[in-house]
Amino acid sequence: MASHKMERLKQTVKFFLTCAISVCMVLFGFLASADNAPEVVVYTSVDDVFARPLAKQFEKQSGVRVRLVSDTEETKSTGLLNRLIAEKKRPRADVFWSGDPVRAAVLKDKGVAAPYHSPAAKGLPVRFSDANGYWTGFSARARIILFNKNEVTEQQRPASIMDLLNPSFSGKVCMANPLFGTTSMQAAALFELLGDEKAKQFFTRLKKNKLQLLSSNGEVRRRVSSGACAYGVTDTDDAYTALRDGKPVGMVFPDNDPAKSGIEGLGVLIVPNAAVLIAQAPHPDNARKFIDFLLSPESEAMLARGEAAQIPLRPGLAGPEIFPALNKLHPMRVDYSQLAEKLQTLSRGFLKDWVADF
Amino acid sequence: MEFADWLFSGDFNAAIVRSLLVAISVLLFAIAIGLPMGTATAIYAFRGRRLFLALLALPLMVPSFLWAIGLSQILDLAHITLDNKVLRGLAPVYVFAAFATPLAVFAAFLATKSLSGTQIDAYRLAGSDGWVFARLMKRALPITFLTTLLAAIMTLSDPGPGQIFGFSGAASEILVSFSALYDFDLARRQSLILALVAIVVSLPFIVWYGPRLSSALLAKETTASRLAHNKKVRRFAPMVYILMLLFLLGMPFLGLIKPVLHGFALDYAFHELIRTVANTLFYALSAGFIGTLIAIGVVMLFAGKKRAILIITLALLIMVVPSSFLAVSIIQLGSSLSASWDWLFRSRLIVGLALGIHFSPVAILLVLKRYSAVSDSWFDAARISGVSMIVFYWRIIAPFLAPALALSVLIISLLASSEIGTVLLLRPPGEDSFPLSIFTVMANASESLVSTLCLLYIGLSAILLILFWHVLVRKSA
Repeated sequence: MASHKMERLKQTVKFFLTCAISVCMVLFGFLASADNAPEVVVYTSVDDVFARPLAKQFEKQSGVRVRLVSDTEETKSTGLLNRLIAEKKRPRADVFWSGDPVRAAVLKDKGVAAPYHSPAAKGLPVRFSDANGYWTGFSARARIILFNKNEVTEQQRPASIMDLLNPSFSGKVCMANPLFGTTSMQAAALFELLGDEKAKQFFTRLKKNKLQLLSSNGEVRRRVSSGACAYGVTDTDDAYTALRDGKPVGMVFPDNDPAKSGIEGLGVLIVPNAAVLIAQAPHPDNARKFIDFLLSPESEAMLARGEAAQIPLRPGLAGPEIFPALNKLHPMRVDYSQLAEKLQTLSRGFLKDWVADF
Repeated sequence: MEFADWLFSGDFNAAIVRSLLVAISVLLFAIAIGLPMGTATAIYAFRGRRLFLALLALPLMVPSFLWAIGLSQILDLAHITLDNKVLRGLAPVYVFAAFATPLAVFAAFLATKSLSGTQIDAYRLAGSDGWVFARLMKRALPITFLTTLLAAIMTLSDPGPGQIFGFSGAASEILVSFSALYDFDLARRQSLILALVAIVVSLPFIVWYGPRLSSALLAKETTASRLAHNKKVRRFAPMVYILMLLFLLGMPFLGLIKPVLHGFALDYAFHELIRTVANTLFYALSAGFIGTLIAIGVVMLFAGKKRAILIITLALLIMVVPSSFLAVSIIQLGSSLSASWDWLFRSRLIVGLALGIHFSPVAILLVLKRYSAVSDSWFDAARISGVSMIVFYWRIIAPFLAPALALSVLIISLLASSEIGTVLLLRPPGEDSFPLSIFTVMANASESLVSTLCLLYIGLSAILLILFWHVLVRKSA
């Protein structure tokens, strides 16, 4: 009886293995294709619709094929940063084009980034880049307050982020989850500038004022556009999208005017893109070429003209008409490299509890 | 501390309880609706029966975040704010139910269909229509329950709808560890705890239903059952299906339609479709084949009444691990191996492999159910006749298992076609799938573009399903 069972088991295994090998051979045949054209592998957390036109332009100029891997901050995917960290031992990516400098700083901390001082960075303000060249900032977004024109009169427009604590704003404000994306960066910046106690008070009072906590900046844009929220804290690209879609919205750059600011000298949080060379990149020369291209004035101009509506960091370059130029803004004085570290602490402590208690 | 305060606290254990409450609600809703609907569809004739079944498969092909976005847009239009913690928990229940209920319907349908015509005729001779219906539901319950349990378990590891509606479940906590803290070890520990809790909660049901899965399905005679005619069913079943489809799919669908009233972005949508269609099909089909192969291996190596519990427990363990977690582990493994392994770990095949592993529990249940109906006497007959086992498997067992294998490939392909996390992390550079291309533009592209992409995807899925169903029905006829 036992030998009968053993025989049946052996035959079962043989049958299974035959099937498995056949299918694998077919699949392997399907996959076997070689392409030796010069290429650069670019991971980007910038939305595909904005990144792809630049990639095409680079291909035209250089003849190097760009293999783009996009991500998005919407719905909070586990994302490319995790992939980059997981691939650290033998990376596949040559360049990480980050939508914000905090993720770039995380890569530096994790030993995934390599220093590169690009000659094309000439003219870019150094305060938006890593001092050691692990990431270089270019074209930026800014954190703004979006409002619905049908719900908000001229007098009701906030001038400062602190105005959102006013009881007259109760239940009318929405914001994305501060554990993720640019909202997390803004939270870390507030903690950095206001100090822990004042920042905690700000967030606690914001919650008491019946803040609506949403999943993403895109959701904030949608809610404000529909009037479900009168005010939303989000990014300039979201404001641009809403305006382009003809939504009845307006925007305020909070704390841009020191005279009207709730906290003197707070300023507007600028969120530059960041170009990162990956350590042990498989195509290092093409990677440097691509970074040089990203940091060039032409790329900044393209990002300003296109759907991305990014604000150029180089002085003198024309930006999107609907936003003020960088020299008309009063930027927050933050050290972007330190924000990543601050955020790690906050995400494990105060912010995590604050979100969970909603 | 009051239980309510604890339940909505930031404690990970409380998050697990919240997720379990959502999963149990989804399970109960899906079985309450799916079991009678699936059983009735298997035995009664009514107008539009095949079409309804095909449309009901649609949620399996569409990522859960699409329904969540649609529902969120409808709530916005109606100026409904989810400012209550209970309401924020109910919204994910609704979105997950749209996925779990069709699975319950299909499981009940297939379980009832697997009974032979003689068995059903015997029931009909013994009692009234109502009695027969109740008996058949009872027979279909084990496989329906276990399939829906798998769907409910899957909700534990899907953070999407919870994130959109502001519901903080265990999956969201793991996501925070993973995405905000980049702490893989913490995420691993949390995933392990979640898996253990899911197994402990499910074990009594597995012990109860596991052996019944085999014993209830020992139909050896394969005469197909005929459809019965019942005036009430003929009148009400289409209405129930329409209401069901409107409730589960209509609302989110309307949310997606509204933005395209301002204009379609068909050029871009078709360009994206052409760019990604081959990869989408490849990922889905390879996942279907690999998941089914895994199921064949597991079932044939461990089959037997006493081992059914072991197999189903293993299936649940696979299911409860978040797909992105498996994907990151695969990346880490691939990166630590030499480049000679890149043909596997850095190709499109790895996407299919990861998806196949993740969804293999569904195939394991289907194959286990079918394989349980193989009698030992068939093996004895082959041995006595001197037929080699390879010939026996090829000529007897393979054709016998074929319907279950085909169905398994189909269902896993459907589920895999809408998966985002694994494809996002494992796809080779430039090799996107269509759902992923929607995912990567939806944050900042115009609403009309996003909705056009979503509607194109849903429309194509519906056409494929209807065509497939039509071909399948013609072939079986």
